[in-house]
This record gives sequence, C-alpha cells and structure tokens, in this order.
Amino acid sequence: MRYGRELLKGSTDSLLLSLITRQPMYGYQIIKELEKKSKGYFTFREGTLYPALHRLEKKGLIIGTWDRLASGQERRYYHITEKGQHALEEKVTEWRGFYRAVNSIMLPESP
Amino acid sequence: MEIEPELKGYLEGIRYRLRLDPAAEKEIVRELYTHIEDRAQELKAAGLSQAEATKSATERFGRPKAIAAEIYKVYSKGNWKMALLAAMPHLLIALLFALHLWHNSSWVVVMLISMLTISAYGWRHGRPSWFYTWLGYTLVPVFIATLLSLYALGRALFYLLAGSGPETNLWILLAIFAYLPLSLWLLGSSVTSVVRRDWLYGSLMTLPLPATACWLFALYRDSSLFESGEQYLQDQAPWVALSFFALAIGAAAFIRLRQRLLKAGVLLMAGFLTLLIVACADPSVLGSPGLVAAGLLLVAFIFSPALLEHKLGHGEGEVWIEASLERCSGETQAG
Repeated sequence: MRYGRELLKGSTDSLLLSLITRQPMYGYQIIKELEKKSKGYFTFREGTLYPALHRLEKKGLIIGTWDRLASGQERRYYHITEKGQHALEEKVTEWRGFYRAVNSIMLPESP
Repeated sequence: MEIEPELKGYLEGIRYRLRLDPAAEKEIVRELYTHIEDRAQELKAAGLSQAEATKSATERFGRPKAIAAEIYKVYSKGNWKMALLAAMPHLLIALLFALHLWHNSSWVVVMLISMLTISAYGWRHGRPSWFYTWLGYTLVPVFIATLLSLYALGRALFYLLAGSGPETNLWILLAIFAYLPLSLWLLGSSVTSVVRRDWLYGSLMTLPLPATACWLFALYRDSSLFESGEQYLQDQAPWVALSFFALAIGAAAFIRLRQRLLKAGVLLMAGFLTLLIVACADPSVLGSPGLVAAGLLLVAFIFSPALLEHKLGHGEGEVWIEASLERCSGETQAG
C-alpha cells in the first residue's frame, strides 16, 4: 500500500486531468470517482486534493467555476483547458513508454 | 443555516493560515466546506449522528495547518513579472540617486505621484503581493517628516531646558504638534491593516524605512541635516543607489520564494546588506559596535510585524463563515 501511495504521489496530476477531461467535476466527486474507478486502490487524503487542484488551476491546466447542482447548492466544478488537454496527451504518451519499459523488465515474456 | 462550532473552528483554522487575499480565502474555505459537508451527509446517511459525522469528515479531511500550508505554497510564489513590479519602486529610487536626479524636484514629485497612483491601483485590485513595496514608499515621506518633526521637537525642548540657544518659532512647534499624531496614526493604521493580511507583507512594506533612517542619520552626523546636506548626498549618491538596489533584489527574491522562512530570511539579508553599504560608505556613522546595534534593531524591526499580527489576529475571524457559506449548504446530497 505504501508503494501505491508513492505511485499516486507521482501521478496525481495525470490522474486528476484524466478524470476531469471526461467531464467537469467537483472535489468530492473526484475523490469518489478515483476510489470507484481504482476499486479502492487509490485513496486520497481528502484535504490534499485541493492543493493539487489549485496547483493545476494556477498552471492554467484546469479552471474552476461555481455551478449549481439540481438541488440548488453550489459546487466548484473543474473543467480542463486546452493547455490541460495538451499536457494530458504528453503525460499519457510518457506513461505508455514508462509502462512498456517497466513491464519489459519486471514481467519479461517467458522464452 | 447553523454551522457547528467545531466545524466553524476547523474552517477558521484553515483560513487563518492561508494568508491570502480575503476574497480568495473565502472562496477556498467555501470550497473545502462543500467537501466536508458532502462527506458528513454521506456518513449521516450511513447512521452517524450530525456531530459524529462532522467530526469524522474533518478528521478524514486532514489537519488544518497542513492543508493551509500546502495551499499557501501554491499561491505564495509570484512570477517574474510580479517580482519585477515589486522591485520597481526600489529600482526607481536607486536610479534617482545613481543618475543624480534626486535634487531635481520635478523628478521627485513625478516619482511620488506615480507611487501614490500605483499604490491606489493595487489597493483597489485585490492588493497583490507586488503592491506592498509601492505602498511602503508612499509612507516614506510621512516617515521622514515624522523623524524630522521629532528631531525639531527634541531640539526645541533641549534649548528650552538649557535656557539658551536660538528661539523656536511657535507656529512651527504648533504645526509639529498637529502633524505628529496624524502621521503616527497614518503609519500605525497602514501597518496594522497590512499586518492583518500577513505580517511578512508588513515587513516587506516597511523595508525601506531602516535604510532611509540610516541615511538620514548619516546626513545628520555629517552635515547637521540642513547645512551642507546637498553636498553630502551628492558624494554618497552611488552608495545610496546601491543600498536601494540591494532592497530591489531582496523584494524580487521575496516574491519568487515559496517558503515563509526563506521570505523572512531574504528580507533580513537585504536589510543587513543596506546597513553594510552605509557602513562602507561612511564608517564614521556605523562603526563595528554601531553596526551590531543597528543589526539587532533591524532584526527587531523586521519581526515586529509578526508580534503585531499575533496580537491582532488575521482577518475577520469566524464572523464571516455563516454569511459566506450560505449558498453552498442545505440539503446536501453526497457523491
């Protein structure tokens, strides 16, 4: 689990951008989606999500806007920007290369 | 809407440590509150009481100090444009002396007006970090006039007690008595208002004051202030320029740094550097013991806004919370 946490630390930006690119989301929704999609493997310390979101927003990769839910309450939804889309594409390409390289060493095909 | 006192205290604990523009602080805390409320609603639906759910939600959210510190780091580092803007007033003063424009009153007036205008602009546009150096220079004339008034008052009192010396003009004394409370109030209220946002900005704003006081003292020692002051300043102009250039570097580094401790350190270093420059320029003003004493005074001066902040508190306290969070509360649905 500690190894998973370390991996999460290095991949936070990529994971957040990947989720937000599918649909605009607010913080609590992101936490729930992350838990659901990773089947509980990735669990954020909830408060640490917001520094990460605000850092991405300051870099211009996402933008937050207050939108109203059907219940009338407001939530701060994060939308991906064009710059964020490009950054995500780069991160995905990088990840594919890394994943292949690690697999070729850790899980070599049997001769 | 009723927010539990524990939750109010928790949110205020985060806001207190954010040290951002008040509007930005409210927006951030409002967002964090919606998250905690969503989680608490989910826990309530699972059978916990309101108090238990809120407690558990805040525990899962994390320690206020750690969260606020992480968010502060996101916003504390300014870009190069902001660093240049913060350094600009120090650079302008340095240029004024380096190019020997300081005795041309038109240049001085133009500079004062631009500093006032830019300070007013910054004040009205969310008080960005670069604005505090400009605000500091609008206070410098008030500070110099206050020092000169105190000097004149002290001299008048000395002659009065000694029973000899030149006669003091009564009208000047009355003007000083009228001016001093006004200037002290202006200096005090400006510093207080800035310190309520972040004491580090108070130190950044008042950074030119020790350098100004040192040069005034040097001027007084060498030329009794008025008698041959122009010649003294003419001779020392490159050193004066260098001391304000050191402040410009310090201000730019302050904006570019992320950690609070480093920010305070760079202000201290810039202050020490100006003292060293004064000592090199005129060793009769600051010898070794004088330099040590001035250094200690500088440390006290740089950190005094921190003590003031500790006494005053930061921002409005918890009173804003309920009004600010009205829009995002109610029948919350988790997920």
